[in-house]
Parts: sequence; structure tokens; C-alpha cells
Amino acid sequence: MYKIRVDDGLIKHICNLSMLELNDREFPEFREQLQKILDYMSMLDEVDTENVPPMFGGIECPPLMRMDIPFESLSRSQVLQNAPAEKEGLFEIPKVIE
Amino acid sequence: MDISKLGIFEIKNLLLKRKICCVELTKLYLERAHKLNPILNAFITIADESAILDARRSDENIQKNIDSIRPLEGVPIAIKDIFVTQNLRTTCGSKILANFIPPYDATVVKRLKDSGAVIFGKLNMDEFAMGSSNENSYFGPVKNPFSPDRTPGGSSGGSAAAVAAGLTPASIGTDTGGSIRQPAAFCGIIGMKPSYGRVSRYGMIAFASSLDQAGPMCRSVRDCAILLESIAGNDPKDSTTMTTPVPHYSEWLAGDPSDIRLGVLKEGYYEGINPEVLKAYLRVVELFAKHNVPIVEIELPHIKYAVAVYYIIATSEASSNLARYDGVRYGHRSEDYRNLKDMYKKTRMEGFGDEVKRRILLGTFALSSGYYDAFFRKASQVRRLIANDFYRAFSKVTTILMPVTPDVAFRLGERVSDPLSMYLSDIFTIPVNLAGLPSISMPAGLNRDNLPIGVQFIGKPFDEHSLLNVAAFYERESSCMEILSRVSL
Repeated sequence: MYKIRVDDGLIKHICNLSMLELNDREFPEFREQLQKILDYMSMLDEVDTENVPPMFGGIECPPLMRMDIPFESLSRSQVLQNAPAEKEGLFEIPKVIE
Repeated sequence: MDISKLGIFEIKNLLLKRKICCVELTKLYLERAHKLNPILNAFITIADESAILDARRSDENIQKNIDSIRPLEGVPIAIKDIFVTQNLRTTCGSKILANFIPPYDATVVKRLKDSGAVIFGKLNMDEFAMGSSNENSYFGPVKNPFSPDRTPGGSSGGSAAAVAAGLTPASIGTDTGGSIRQPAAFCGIIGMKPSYGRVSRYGMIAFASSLDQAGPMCRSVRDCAILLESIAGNDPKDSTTMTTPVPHYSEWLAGDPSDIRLGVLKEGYYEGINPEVLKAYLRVVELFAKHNVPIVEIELPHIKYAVAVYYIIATSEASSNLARYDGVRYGHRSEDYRNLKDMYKKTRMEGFGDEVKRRILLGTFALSSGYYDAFFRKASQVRRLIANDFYRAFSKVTTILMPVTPDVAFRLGERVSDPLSMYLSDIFTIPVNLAGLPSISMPAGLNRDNLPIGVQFIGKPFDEHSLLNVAAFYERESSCMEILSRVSL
């Protein structure tokens, strides 16, 4: 892990990837805080991890599959009950095709 | 009747001996919640109507069939607001879910209800369980019942404060990096994080899926056993829950010290921690030694990297899990947008608080092209080294003893502006989650300002029953739960 410089370009890039917008207070504040946090994380550089397989899960067993038995799922009205906007039994979003 | 000092076991006795009925009891808890919530801010939602209906059903069940009633029949329990509850608002401490009414129950909730529990409220927490002080809740911080200017800890701070102040006899919290054990330690109660894979995560709003685990927060070890028995076990809806049989935990409370070999870290690991915390921890070591429990020095050479590893892995998983909040299917949607992409961005900007945004950014960065190997993959490799350290230690000992936190409950506002210092306070709880181990946090006395100190016992994977035996032994020999008599609300 080399030294990462957290600049405005990097923050804009990750904001775009994560669909976030930051306000005028957050932008410089987060840039500074993320720099400090990433500097701290660079301590992992000193650990020799050659030939160490990564551990991605909390337990390392293959996921247990359930039997493929159909059961009742939520009704359409239950699925839509929290929708910010719905139309004709579907979720409604702003038009995406010009 | 004074309900403020009652746990589940005492309540079950009262109900079975017909000293009180479920409806009356539930009304007392509802009244107490309404009366004290303006002081503690422990509840986000109080479920007056549904609780009374459920309590009435429990009364009927007890009336009909006193000999075979369910293990939690009629026991009022408030739970962390991270578990979805059918037709009862579930916010996860966030503005983005402030009006979310789930159409189904989490498995934990279903199992509590199937055991007869009366769910009467949803407890405050850091937004999406991200925080160590409860100050990240959209619904405002919770106060510590031992000292209202202090944090109750987080993220299950509402649960810890409510149990300590007798607003609920027990609670269920969740622990991703210490979120059950740290608030339990700050509020003088018992908090147990089971092994990863022990309790279903279905319907538990996801933060970091390879670390999240639900567990009991209680006033006695016996209550922990009763609650864990009800919620643990394989769930076809969560493919990471194991089929390992669930023992009758209540039968493991003899507190027999004969098989315990207690692992302790060399003192060098505790440089810089609060001397009063260290002293309390050493008193616990002495107590075990006095009862001829072998004390074995162990090494966990990689735990110093745990905070860095955790805040890469947990934020990466969070950045992916929280992508679902887009204002389309549920939750807050911004009213001011130009097109779909703008709607996503504004919705998330308005709906998430600072800490959640910070973690999404950090996680997105760690997973992004060009940085994945250096951050996420590297952290996952060091995670294995941390887990291996524990496995090696467990070849010599049955249980490991550690402090829960380097310090006692800090003042509200003290660390808000410095996220890194907040993260560093999780140094003793995080390694346990990374390795997927069970751990139970127990009180170890008060400091000179009458603030609780906690220690944790860590066990082998899926060995919760042995851990409960150790905790029962410690609880009996130390009288540690007496500190709760200091809370008077």
C-alpha cells in the first residue's frame, strides 16, 4: 500500500462511483479525515502477506443451500407499500429515455 | 410493582406464579418507557397498541395451558431498531428509513415472537450500526444511565441504556465490531456476541455481512442463555447460519471452573489504556487464579492491525450493502432532482448522515479499480493472520480474557470531530469479529467516577455454552451485577 494522496479529484471520483453528493462543509472535511484514516491504514504495509490466502467470510464453510421448495412471497401491495412513487402496480422512477 | 430491576427469569416466575398478568406487566413497561424516554432517548418507537394485543394473547395462552407455555411467553422485550418488524416502523437510526414500515419479520423477531415474547419497542442506535457512541443516530444521542453527560456506547446504545435503566428486562443488539459488547461495558450490563453463523441475519439490516451478528444484552448470564436459546440456529433464509446443533444453553450455567484454562495477553499489549481499566481487568485475572484456574500467557501478534483491517473490510461491505438505498423501492426520496442519477445522488445526500457517507466513501475507495489489491485484498489477508493467532491461542487455552474497551464511557461530543480516534477505541472488540468468534462482555466494577468498566471472555467458534459457563462462574464469584443497583431512574 503506497501513500495515497486524497485530493479533490479522488473524492469526486469516489462520490461518483458511490452515487453520493457532498455539500460545501462535507467535501473538505471528509477529504482531510479520509487522508488521516488512509495514512493510518498504511501500517498494513509492514505485514508480510505473501502466500496468505485472503479470508473473505466470517466462517469458511461453503454456503448451505436450502431445498428448492416454493413458498408464498410478499404480495404486490406489500412490496409496494413503502414505495416513494408507484404507478399501475409498479415502482415509478423519472423518465430515463429522452 | 417496581419493574426496574427485573430480568427475564424473574419476570417468567412472576407470570407463572400469576403475581401479575402479561397485559398489566406490558402496561408498566410502556408507561416506564414513555416516562423515561425524554431523559434517556433510548427508544425510537414505542409499540403501545401491538404490544397490548400480543400481551393479551399471552395471557390467554397462560390461562389455557399453564403447563406447556413457551419460553418467553408474555415477557416484554424491546429490541434494537435494526431488526425489521412486520407493520412496525424500522428506521436503523437513519433518516433514509425514517418512515419505513417493513412487510415482514426478521428471523430473530419471528423466533422471539414464536417463543412468546411481547415486542414493545424499537431501540435507538447509531445510523446503520456505524458508530461507537450513539451520536450518529438521526434520532439524537442516547444518554448513559450512569451519567447523563456520557455516551452509552454504540452502536447498540439504546439497548444497553434501556437494559441498565430497567426500561426493558433484556434486549437484542447486533455486533459488527463491538456494538453489543462496548455499550454493554459502558452501561454495566452483559452483552454477548455469538459466533458468526450462530444467529440468522435475515431481516437484520445489513452493515458488514461477513461480520454482523445478533446477540442478547441482559442483566444476568441466565437471561443471556434463555434469549440465545430462542434466537440461535440454522435458518434456510440465511445461508451463512450453521446447522451445528443449538445446545440447551440454560443447562450450562453451573459455573464450574474445573475445565477452564484462561488465556491472557502480556501486559505490553495494554500500553496506553486507562489504568483503572487495566486494574479492573487484573482483578478479574486474580479472581480466576484464586480459584485455581490456570492462567496462560498468550500472544496475538497481529491484533495491532485489527482496526486498520476492520475499517477497510467493514466499509467495503457497507458500501456495497448500502447501495440499495436509492429512493426507488422504499425509504426517503429527494423531492428536488433533474433526472434518475441526480435523484439517486440527492436522495443519498439527504438521507445519510456524516459517518455513513464517510464509510461509504472509504469502502468504495478500497474496492475501486486500482486500489482493490492494496486495500481490500491486503486487509482480507491480514484478517486471516489475526484469525490464525486466535486459533493458535486456543490450542493452549479454553477461554481468552481481555478488556472490552481501552477507556470508560467518554463524554458526549468529545470525539465526534475525530473519527479515527473513535475507531481506535474499538481495538479490543474488533479482532473477535474478524475471527468470527463468540465473546461475552461482563461488568468488572466501577471507576472512581462511578462509571462501569467491562471485561470480555472470548471462546472457540460455536462454543457459546462453555463461554456461558465461564461467565456464570465469574458472575457468581464476583457479584459483578450489583453495580446495576447504582442506577436509579
